Amino acid sequence: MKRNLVALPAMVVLAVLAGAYGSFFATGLLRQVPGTASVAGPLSLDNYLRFLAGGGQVPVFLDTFGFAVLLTLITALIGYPLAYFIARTESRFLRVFFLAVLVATFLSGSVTRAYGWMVILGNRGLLNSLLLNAGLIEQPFRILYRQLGVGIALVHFLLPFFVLTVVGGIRNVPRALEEASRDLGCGPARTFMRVTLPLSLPAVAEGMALSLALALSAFLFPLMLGGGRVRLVANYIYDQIFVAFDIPFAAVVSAGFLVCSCAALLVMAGLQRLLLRRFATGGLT
Amino acid sequence: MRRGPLGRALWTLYLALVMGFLLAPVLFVVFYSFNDATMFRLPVGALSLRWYRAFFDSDQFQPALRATLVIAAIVVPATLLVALPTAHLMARGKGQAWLGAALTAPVVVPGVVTGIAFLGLFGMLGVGDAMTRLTIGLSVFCLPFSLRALNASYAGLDRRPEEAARDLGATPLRAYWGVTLPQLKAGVLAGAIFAFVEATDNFSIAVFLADTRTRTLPIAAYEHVRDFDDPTVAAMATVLTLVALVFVLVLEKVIGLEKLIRHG
Repeated sequence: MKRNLVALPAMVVLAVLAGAYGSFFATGLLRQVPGTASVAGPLSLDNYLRFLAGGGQVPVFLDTFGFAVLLTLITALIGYPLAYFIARTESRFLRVFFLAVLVATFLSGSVTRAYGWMVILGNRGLLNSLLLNAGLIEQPFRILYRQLGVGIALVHFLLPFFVLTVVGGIRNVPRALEEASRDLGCGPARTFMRVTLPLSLPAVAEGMALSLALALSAFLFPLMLGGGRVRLVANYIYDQIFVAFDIPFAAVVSAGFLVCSCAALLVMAGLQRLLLRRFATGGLT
Repeated sequence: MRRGPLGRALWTLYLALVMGFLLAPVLFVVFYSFNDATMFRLPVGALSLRWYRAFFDSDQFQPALRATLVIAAIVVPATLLVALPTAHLMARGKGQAWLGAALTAPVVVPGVVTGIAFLGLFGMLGVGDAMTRLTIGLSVFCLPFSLRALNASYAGLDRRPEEAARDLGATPLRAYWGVTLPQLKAGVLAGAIFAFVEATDNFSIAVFLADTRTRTLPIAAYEHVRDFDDPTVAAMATVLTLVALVFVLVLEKVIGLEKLIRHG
């Protein structure tokens, strides 16, 4: 009885979630009343067949996944050394300072950051003004309203998530192992490549899975910085609803997209498990 | 970390570049918000508070600011009221991992999908009031963030004081209220901050639940940026950055950022 009472709030939330997602995906079985935002029966799989036959969404899906994977790799490459530095620096001041910058960036919100990149990267923004003033370019260099601008802002958005995840993983690598490797004659670079890096790879996989999930569902950044020219799946779904008013097809695209991103995340999770087994530190920590 | 002069120089260069990249948008927005001109132009002209006045006097932003604060004032306690018993259940019950995974769904599912799904559900239930929709929708969305902070607190919890209280005859509720909850203070604080930030910053779910009369700050900011080219949003962003800085200081003072990462 008492336990049920403790579980009650969570159950209410679960019911809301199940009701919301369930009813939304169920509308995929209905049909749009032409020219309106309402839906009607009879139940059919037409929307699913239309989706599987491949319509406008296939290039959008491919673009989104390719873009998200690329951004995840860039984030990992830029972020790993920072995570390593934060985990291993001897200066507490520097560690707290870098952590504070990351947490502040994370807490300052996505609208703030998307806007910040808009005014930096725009044709009359800071970067182009500086380059024009310095005489390095004649014409403003277009960064905004194409994938480059959206990508820069998204890497900036993903970086704190990745670094904050990986710092913990590197800190968990036992120092004794690194010292043993040094004592046995390995240089710092070799110790890093053969001990620290492999042992921190599970955390890297976790951070990359998180970045991938966030990059895949990006909506505000392509909307603000892409100016309608960079269209990812989330924007495509949004257009299905607010431009085409086709809620059933939007539901089917969402379902298909969820299946694809779950598959991608499962691959990442499998990779993480594989790495954990390969480089397990059990018994040493 | 021992390294030679070249390694040192490369590290310094790298760290400076990454810090520049991380701080650039925030620093430039702060600077831009004090710029008197409508357009950004080099060299920089006069400074003024003109855009702060524009932000606080605006009949677009003022209602949005008020709505956002009201929503946050309801969402944060509501989220904690659900998160506290749920975190307890997850820490003490067995095989509750699925519960955490299920409640985390709105973080993994693209916000656009969650937003439409909520809109459909509220449509079926006949909830026409945007404020109600936003409050419920954002509470559900913020829950996993608070839950994560509380789970971390439970992971480092010493159970003996609670057991001692129970042995001395305290009811479970009294032991929880008097002994366990005070130990979770740091997690509750972090959970409240995360819920506040997510509730005030969310765009992709909120855009579906809002209507023309009740909008949150991110939606008002997006619409302003879409239709105008002036630094009003820079003033708003500066205010939000200031709030974020206060949160960072509070987290560092009360919990310690290093500890936050270890459990995070």
